[in-house]
Amino acid sequence: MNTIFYIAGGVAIISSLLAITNRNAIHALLYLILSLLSISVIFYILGAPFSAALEVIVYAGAIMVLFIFVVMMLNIGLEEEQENKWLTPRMWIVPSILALALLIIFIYVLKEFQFEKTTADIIGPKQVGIKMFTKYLLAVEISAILLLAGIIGGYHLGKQKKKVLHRFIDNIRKI
Amino acid sequence: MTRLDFLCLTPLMIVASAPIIIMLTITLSRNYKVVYGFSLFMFLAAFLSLFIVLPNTPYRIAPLFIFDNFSILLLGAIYCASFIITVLSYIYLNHQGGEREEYFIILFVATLGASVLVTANHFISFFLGLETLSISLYVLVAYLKNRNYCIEAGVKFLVIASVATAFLLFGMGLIYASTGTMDFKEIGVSLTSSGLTPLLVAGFGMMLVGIGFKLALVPFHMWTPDVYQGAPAPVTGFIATISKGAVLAIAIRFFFDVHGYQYTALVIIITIISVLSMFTGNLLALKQTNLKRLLAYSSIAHLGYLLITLLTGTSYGIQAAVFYLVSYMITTLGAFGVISILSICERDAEDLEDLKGLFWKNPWIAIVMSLTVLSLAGIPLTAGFIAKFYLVLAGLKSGLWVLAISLILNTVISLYYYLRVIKTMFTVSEKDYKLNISFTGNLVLVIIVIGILFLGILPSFLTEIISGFSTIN
Repeated sequence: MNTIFYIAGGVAIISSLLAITNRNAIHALLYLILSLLSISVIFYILGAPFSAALEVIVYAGAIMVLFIFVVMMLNIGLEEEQENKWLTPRMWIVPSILALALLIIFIYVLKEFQFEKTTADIIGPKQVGIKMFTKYLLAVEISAILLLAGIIGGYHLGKQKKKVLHRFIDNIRKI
Repeated sequence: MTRLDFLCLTPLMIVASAPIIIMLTITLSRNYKVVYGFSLFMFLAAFLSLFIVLPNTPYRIAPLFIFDNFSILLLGAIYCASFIITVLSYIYLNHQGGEREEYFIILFVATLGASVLVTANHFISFFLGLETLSISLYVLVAYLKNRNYCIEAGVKFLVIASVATAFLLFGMGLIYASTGTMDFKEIGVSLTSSGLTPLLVAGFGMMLVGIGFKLALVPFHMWTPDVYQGAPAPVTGFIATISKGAVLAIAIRFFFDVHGYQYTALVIIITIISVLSMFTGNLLALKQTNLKRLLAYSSIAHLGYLLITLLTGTSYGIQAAVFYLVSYMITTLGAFGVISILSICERDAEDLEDLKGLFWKNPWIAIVMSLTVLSLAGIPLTAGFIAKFYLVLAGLKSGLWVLAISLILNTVISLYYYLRVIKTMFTVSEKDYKLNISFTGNLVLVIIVIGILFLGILPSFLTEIISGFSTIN
């Protein structure tokens, strides 16, 4: 069990470091996804399958994919060229190896691992939901207001005045 | 949720409902004046609703909130300060173009965050309150996005506050891992039985880093001058008063609930941070020519003074902290109020040069500014003097000689740069001022002046209220 933890933890540390040091946004994000996946493996072997699933669905799934979309959208019109430049084998080979290690661990854990040995009770989505809407209801409400501030702030700061350019200049930009 | 739960949550619910109502009215039509009037009304309503809560204290809404006298008093201070900041913001934004209604929405959310912080007694509400406050502050700092400094300040604040939050969360995690509870009181109970294990010291240390960032204490103060300078003047006032006050309130509550002053390791760390903050803040302020940066460094020193109260461990210390916070809030709002009122469309009146000859052009504003500066320095007859006196007394009663002496030394150092501000206002300058101050602006300044003088001359009025209120349940 310990070896699995150390492998997953090592992958998490290496990929986080690479995410910070990488100068290319897309590659950094790929490493970040990897780091989140390895953390979810750690959650899983600690006996928290629900947290592991949330980590994958919310962080690695939703947020990171959105990030990557946004970064790619910023270069509209040059997609093909960019994609070729970003996806050289040198760039994807390291994350793939790390991800492969995680996959092997994951399959092994699914086959061999029994939860009963590690933790007293496994908390499922139902219990979490009940707690969130009874005991911690107020916390959920505050988070809702927090997100409201985030949305309005994002709207205000992200909004740009419509630039009025001459159509001639517009055409040049398109080319 | 019982009826009493709802009753006690009224102030928070009023503040939480305001941004939603404003947002919905904006979708129909934008009217700056209506939004402003509505904001004033809601802050007033929130303040008055505290009197409904008051007879029921101490009341605990398990597990997240506690409404005791300490939190009610600070909520009152926060809502008064928000009210004043709303007026200042209206005057300040009046000559700005663009969309100004969102500003008030976010101001309400930030105030809600501060209210949650003040009433929290659980790690979850602590963290959520802090995040609500910080996330709305990022937006407020960068609100005037056409100015260069604003965006820079916003990004700096965002990055550094996120790092601070990460530290704070990790510290909370370590404490939770070793005590098994997130409730402040229960952590205290578990600490007395287990003692301060290395894991707990690490946890407290990390939480201190997080709180230190938010309060701009010395090793973590780098962001303060830049953010103070870049943010719009009323927002800077918000950061200096409400944000720091709320974070300090929760720090006091946490530290007193876990009896942190009984553990030598924590006492030594906080003493060092406090002394360093006092000296660094005051020494760096000496050479500043930018008024906002000067106030930033002076706020570092003031928070250093306020840390003394953490170590006293007596209800006397809490009283001193509350009195100091209230007087500091009034005084700082006065200073930033003058800056907001003097500011013009393109930039803030933040250079000392802008104040040159102010006394000969507009004696009233110059007098207000002099009074706030004297109060910050702690000259008798102003609120600042009584506050410092209280603080020294509370420190000496608990035998904190080093801190009390360093406070007094630093007050002497600080006089140099405070008096320089006043000197600048009295020098003759040929520059032409065009000042037309609105009625509400004058009214706010009058209130602030009365507040400073009243607390300075008749402190017993507030001290009597405070001594009945400063119990942490």
